[in-house]
Amino acid sequence: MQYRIIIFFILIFQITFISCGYDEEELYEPQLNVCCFLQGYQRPRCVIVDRSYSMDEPSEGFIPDAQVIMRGKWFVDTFAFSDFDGAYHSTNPFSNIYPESTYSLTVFRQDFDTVFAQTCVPGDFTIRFPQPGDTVTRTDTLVWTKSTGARYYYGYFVDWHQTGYHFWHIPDTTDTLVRMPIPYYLYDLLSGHYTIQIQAADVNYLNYSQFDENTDSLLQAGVEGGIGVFGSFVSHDVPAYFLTE
Amino acid sequence: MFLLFFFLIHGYGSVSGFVTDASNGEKLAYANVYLENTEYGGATNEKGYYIIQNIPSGDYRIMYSYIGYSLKTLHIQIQPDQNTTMNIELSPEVIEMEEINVSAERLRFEKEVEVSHVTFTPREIKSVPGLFEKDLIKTLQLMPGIVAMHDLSNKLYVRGGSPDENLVLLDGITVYNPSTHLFGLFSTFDPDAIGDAELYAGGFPAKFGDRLSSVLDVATKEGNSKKLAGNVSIGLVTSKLMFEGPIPKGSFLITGRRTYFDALVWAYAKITSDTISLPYYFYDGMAKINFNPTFNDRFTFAGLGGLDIITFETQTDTASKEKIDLEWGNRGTSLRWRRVFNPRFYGEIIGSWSNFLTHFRYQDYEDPTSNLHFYEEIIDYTMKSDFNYFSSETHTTDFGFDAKHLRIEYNLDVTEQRLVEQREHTNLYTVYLQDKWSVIPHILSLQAGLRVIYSTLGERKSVDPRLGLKYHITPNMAFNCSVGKYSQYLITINSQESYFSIFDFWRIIDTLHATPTSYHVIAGIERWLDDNTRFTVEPYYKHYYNLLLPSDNAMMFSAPSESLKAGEGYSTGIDVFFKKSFKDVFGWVSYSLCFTKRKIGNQYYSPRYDRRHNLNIVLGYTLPASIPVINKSVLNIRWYLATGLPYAEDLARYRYRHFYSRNDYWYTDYEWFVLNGPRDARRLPISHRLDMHLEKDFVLFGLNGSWYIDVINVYDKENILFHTWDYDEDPPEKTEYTLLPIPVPSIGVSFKF
Repeated sequence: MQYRIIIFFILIFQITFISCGYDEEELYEPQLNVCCFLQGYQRPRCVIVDRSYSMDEPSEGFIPDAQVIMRGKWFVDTFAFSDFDGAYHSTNPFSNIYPESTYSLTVFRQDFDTVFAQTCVPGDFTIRFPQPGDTVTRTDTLVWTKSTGARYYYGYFVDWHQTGYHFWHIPDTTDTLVRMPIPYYLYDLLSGHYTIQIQAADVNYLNYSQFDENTDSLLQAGVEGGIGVFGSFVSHDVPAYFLTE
Repeated sequence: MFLLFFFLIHGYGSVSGFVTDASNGEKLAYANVYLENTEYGGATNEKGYYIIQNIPSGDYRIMYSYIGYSLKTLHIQIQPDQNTTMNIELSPEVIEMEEINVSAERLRFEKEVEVSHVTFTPREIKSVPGLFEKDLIKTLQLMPGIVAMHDLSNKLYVRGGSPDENLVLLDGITVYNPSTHLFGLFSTFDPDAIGDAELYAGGFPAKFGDRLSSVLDVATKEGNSKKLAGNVSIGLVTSKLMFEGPIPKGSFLITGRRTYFDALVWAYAKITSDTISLPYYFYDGMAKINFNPTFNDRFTFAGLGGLDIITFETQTDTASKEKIDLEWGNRGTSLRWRRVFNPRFYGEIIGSWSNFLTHFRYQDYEDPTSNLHFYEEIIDYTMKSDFNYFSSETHTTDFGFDAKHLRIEYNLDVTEQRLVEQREHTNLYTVYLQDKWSVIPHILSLQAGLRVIYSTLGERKSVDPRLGLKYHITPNMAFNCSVGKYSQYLITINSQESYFSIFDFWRIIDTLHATPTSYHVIAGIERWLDDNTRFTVEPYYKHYYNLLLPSDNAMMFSAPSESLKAGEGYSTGIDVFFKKSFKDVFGWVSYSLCFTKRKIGNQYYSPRYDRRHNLNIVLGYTLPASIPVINKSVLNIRWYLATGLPYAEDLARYRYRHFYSRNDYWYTDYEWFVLNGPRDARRLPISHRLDMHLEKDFVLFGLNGSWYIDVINVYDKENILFHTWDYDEDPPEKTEYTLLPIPVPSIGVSFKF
């Protein structure tokens, strides 16, 4: 009996030793990393095609040999890579982006999953206050009409140096107007002429800009099969004079 | 008619009493007591008490035996309908202590219906190599089903349970943070003061409750009732003193321990006019007084206290600039009254107070607005009773009542203003009843119990049934089985998955959350190959409900978090244990296979203490007299092999491009983002380590003493604890960290007087 127990323990020892050293299964395959934002009433901007890297891989620059196709209601646009800026650019002169329209993006590259992305451009809107040339003070409230489909509004006070003072706002859902008091965090804005720029952003734009790598999981803002963002926005601006009290 | 006549002319009596050690008065648990040339006999219980019932009246020779002690035979006359009290002292013979324990375990195997149970003697605890200091918890970590998080961990993860699921008792006092000394490296228990320690790794009886996984019941020595004795130990980190002796109708024991690194550093600084200082030390102590006013009554007062202290002060040239004080520690007292009401009815009542406090104060002498004061403590008042009723030869009934008042207080003052003042309290009332039924004597035993708990907070109750079975397939082999439900009304709000935690932050389960419960199913085989060789195989399954789990963010140090997530989980596996003792050699092999999962929402994950395989080998050997210098010294080695622990790994990195929609140059500005894997994405590499302990007795100036040398990590295995990535490098550079990068020796010496 004792010999059997000794043999039993030798077996356990061997099994333990073998089992303790796990063969790690591959938990992650590198994916394409696609970034593209569309702006209403503009031609498509560039598409950046990059990839993710396993921890032991050295990084590379942009991926130049992907196939990038954007589709709208009235166009199909095959993008071409530019060595100048490492981005893909539109080749179809009739590609135009319109509010409340849906656009898709397909990125294919050998050895990677194909990325499919989609965005619906938010509806147009009008800035009600300020009007061009108005004076704005800290106690004023910015007012604009609600953009259909917009999940978020970004804005800037852009001074004559082209320095932008950023602010943001989540609209309430009941009113047809969006009202936003001048944010307290713009307390250091000096008196002067500014261009007030307001952008209505879609949900992908919102998810991308608010992504937190520590708490959120995979960065997929409107993107499937890879990581990245395919977002859109509509932008309007108005010149105004900002007066500190 | 013949039987009736037989009964009428004979009548029946009984004999009962305590069996103790003649040299120091310590109880002898599981000593053999039997009447010569009859079938009447039994063994003492864990308190050293025995009773043999239904003995036909007449003259007998009663024999008391215990391995390692001389046999005692006495004449006894059994009177009809009377009990004869025989309190016996046995004198020790010169035999190794570990054999005594094996024998006690063997008797326990024959008597008790219990699974997953191990006992430890001080000798076993001290025989395991330790880093600077021997430690009970370190020894327990070598048992099957128990894993340690890392090379220095002093917490018990029992069968996939977290440390806060373990009930830890010291002389009846609940110890809420048993491993707090030196940032969790040492436990509260001084090995020199421990009489015995019992661990139920699962399936514990109805007598115990309020925890989901296991019970560690530690009893200090009774104190020498025959003569004054003591022990002084000097180690690299601590020095200890133990003093024990008789008092009128009783005995006492007192111990004390303190680190003195700070004093050495202070002395060095004074001599060299250096400014260095070590702002940390800890001390603890235990005391016990036994008083036996009558043969049937014993009063025991026990107390423990300890404090870890960090005091750190920064100074300018002329005055103090700021000061940090941090203190934490366990304190507790208990008063126990044990009474033999009649030979069949035995019981004890314990009143105890337990307290764990944490006190942090930051004082900025230049800017008092930064002052901070944090104070937290848990206070436990318990009145507990346990009774044993030996109703017949086949039935032993245990029952008891437990009333506990729990209070948790925490305050936070900033700039002398009280920001947080929180008080939580509840009363827990518990009754339990348990019957052990010898269905077929020496073959089949059943133990059924029920524990009912009522909590005044939320007016909730738990009904926890327990059932155990033991079937002796042969006199040396038994099948054990146990099922039961377990409830817990206290939780910790700091992560139990952190590598280091100085102390736990306990909270009472509030009315918004259901009571955490677990169900244990354990079945196993226990086989005795001879009187000194034990072999057990125990598969088990444990399921948890209503767990409250902190987030996984705290990997290194656990911090309190109020945002707990409700979850459940399970652990299942098999434990194998082989223990052998020869004359000069003893040791054990333990192996555990365990699968532990927790579930939050629909997502299962392996907590960081999920070790899949864990193998421990402990071997003690008394070196032959022919070896020079270290002849007759005891050499202990310990080796372990274990699967690496799961951890959340960074899986990949990618560029996150900052987008400024007001210009076109957005894609040139980026930063690297990391794709985090799930919290159990990877496992650390396999870990193993060899430790050695050499101890030799000597006599110096008439004093008995011993010295020891410990070497931890003999062959310099760098077991990786965690690693970091340097993302400034491309590809990122990995740096691995270990706790024991070199073999660590320690030495010590002790004297007995």
